[in-house]
Amino acid sequence: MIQTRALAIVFAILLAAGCAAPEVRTTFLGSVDLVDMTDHMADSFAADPVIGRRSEASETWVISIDRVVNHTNQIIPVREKWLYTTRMRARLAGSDIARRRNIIWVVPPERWPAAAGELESEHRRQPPTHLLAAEFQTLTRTSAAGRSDTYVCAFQLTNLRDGRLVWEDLWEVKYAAQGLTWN
Amino acid sequence: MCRIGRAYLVVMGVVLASGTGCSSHQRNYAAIHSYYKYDFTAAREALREDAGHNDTNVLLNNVRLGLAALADGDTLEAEAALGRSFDLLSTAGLNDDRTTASIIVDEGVLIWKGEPFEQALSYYWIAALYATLDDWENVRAASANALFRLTDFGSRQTARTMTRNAAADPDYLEKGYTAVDTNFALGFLMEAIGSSLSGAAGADEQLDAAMQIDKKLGHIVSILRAGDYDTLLLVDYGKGPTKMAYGPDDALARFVPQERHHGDLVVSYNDIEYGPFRRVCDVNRMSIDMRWNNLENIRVAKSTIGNVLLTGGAVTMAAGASSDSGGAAVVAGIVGLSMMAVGALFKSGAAADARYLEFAPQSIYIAPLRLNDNGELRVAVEGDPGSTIVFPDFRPGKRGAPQAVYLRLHGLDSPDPPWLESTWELYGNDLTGVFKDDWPWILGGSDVSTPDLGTIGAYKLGGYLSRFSIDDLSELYLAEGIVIGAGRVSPDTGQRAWRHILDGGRALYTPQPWSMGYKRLMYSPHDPYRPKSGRVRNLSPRYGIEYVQW
Repeated sequence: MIQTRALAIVFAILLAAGCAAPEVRTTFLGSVDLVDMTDHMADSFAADPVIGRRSEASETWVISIDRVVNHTNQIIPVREKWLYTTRMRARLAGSDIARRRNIIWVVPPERWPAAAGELESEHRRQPPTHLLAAEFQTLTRTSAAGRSDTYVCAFQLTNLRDGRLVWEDLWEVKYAAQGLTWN
Repeated sequence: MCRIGRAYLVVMGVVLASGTGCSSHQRNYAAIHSYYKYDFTAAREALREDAGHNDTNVLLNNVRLGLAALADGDTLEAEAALGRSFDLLSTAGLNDDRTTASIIVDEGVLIWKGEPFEQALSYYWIAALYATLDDWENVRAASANALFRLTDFGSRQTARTMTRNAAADPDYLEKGYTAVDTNFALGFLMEAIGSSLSGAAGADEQLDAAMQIDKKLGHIVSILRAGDYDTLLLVDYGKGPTKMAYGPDDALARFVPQERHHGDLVVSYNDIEYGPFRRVCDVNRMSIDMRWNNLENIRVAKSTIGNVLLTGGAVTMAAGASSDSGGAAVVAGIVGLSMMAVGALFKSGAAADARYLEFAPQSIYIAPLRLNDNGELRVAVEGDPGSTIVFPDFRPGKRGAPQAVYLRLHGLDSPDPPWLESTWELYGNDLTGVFKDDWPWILGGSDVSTPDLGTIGAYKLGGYLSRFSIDDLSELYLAEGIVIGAGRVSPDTGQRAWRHILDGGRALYTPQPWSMGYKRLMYSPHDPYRPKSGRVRNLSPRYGIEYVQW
């Protein structure tokens, strides 16, 4: 009796497994990485000594944010390329650093329609003095056993007048997935 | 007797469950027929619901939908479908924890990931999409994923010899191959294009790799290396190979070419000939190359298991029948029957998985061109005049920022509708602007531009809608249940509207310029619009032009 039930249960499980929906397990950056990365970069930016020395009386910095340059092997659609730098800016805006350090955030003209409402309109179109940019690189390894991707995501603030690097930091993560890449 | 009955019910229950357990894997003929009639919009409609199901065909259906949308010039839906496909394609071991179920029921329950050549091609199409979107970073990224290493069991191996080897040596399929570099020249070319145009390193080495694979690519490689092009044509031509089951229990599968036309791509611009461009990828050849295939293995094991169980069941029955004990004979007989039922089930599951990408072409071409000024672009595959497509007012890009165009040309077996070669653009739109003295199509004119200051101004210049604002015109469209943009939710139906109003749908937008979908919509005559609301009916010139010409 017990054996009969066990047999039925085993077959039911096998059949159910066969029809289950696929799970996506990739070695790509996800939403958790977006949050963690931009939180770390915003904290690093705010804690930087050069930024910390500035005050409301300092000369205004007009920082233009740019989308991420994607040199990884992951597809990152344009809207997501903006998301990384936009979230970092939004996180800093929430900390009131813009007022205390006399920083104005602007976006390039191509981004104006999408950014309407996000930034103060009178500031949005000022010529920038600085550029906040990010570049993502990856080292991909594939084999019969699986795939791994090591990401290095670099953020930089550059003074556009003299090309000097004002601030930079890195965020790194590695993901690995087991299994045949073609299966 | 009670125990015997229960055992019998269990087995029969399994048999019944296996027959109804999973979704059907039948081909979507509505989508296929529409696709090969150049009606990519109808093909998308036939696929959209299936592509939304998170089942074992999710990848297959999303690649199909993405390909149809790419050809149709709907980059929004193409990016959504191919983006989902990219995530699934890049998932290692997608079927790892499902193997047991696949052995017992049917290989069809495996998540379709395609043969390796179908995977490489899918990455190529994702790259092609991003090329048309001028996103060269993603072109490079997608192409890089297509360059995975291949399993080489030796040049003389066929499915049958590999099957015999696998039967003799259980480790053969895991250890009997050499991992070799890919021979996917198309992938290297696309990666080089993406690298070069996105400022990433490595383009020269990638072009070298393409040349090493195929020495005849010298013409294309030299243009790409010099970066001397302002237009990039990516052309899929013809019907790719079909997948058929064969052998014992139909346990093996192979690809069989459907079309074998080997012409070069011929391009002319303002009557000056470019090229010819030889094909970069022969999908027929790729599909029969064992290095690009991998799913022949498990069917053999399943079929063998089925045969063993059938034999074992028959033996058990025979033994029971010959027993002196009547009760023992009954028990043995029923157990034997049960084993045969399970064995038959295994055998039925041994049939090969014949799912494949029906939209794959037989040939893929890349043509980098230096065109400089606007002009008439004419593209055809040599020896197939029905494949000719003409864009009478093509606008090239710039050196370093080329205009990429994806064209899906069908082969000798498909119809060649008049709009392919037509040079008469019938409807004004966001690309052309409003034609002189024209007004909106829903009011009897021929303009299907989306409302903005420019279009309203152009209407007014022609003496139409002189008191209309953008909001007024938008409200007219709203009154008709028309949404501005592709894939927006219609307030009337609560559904996303994808079909263009010229095609009897509810969406007003301009398909991607120079796409097949754009050419079909704008160069084919469509029935006049039939107003639904009283407002438009009263305004329409057909019903009272004086109201329009205020």
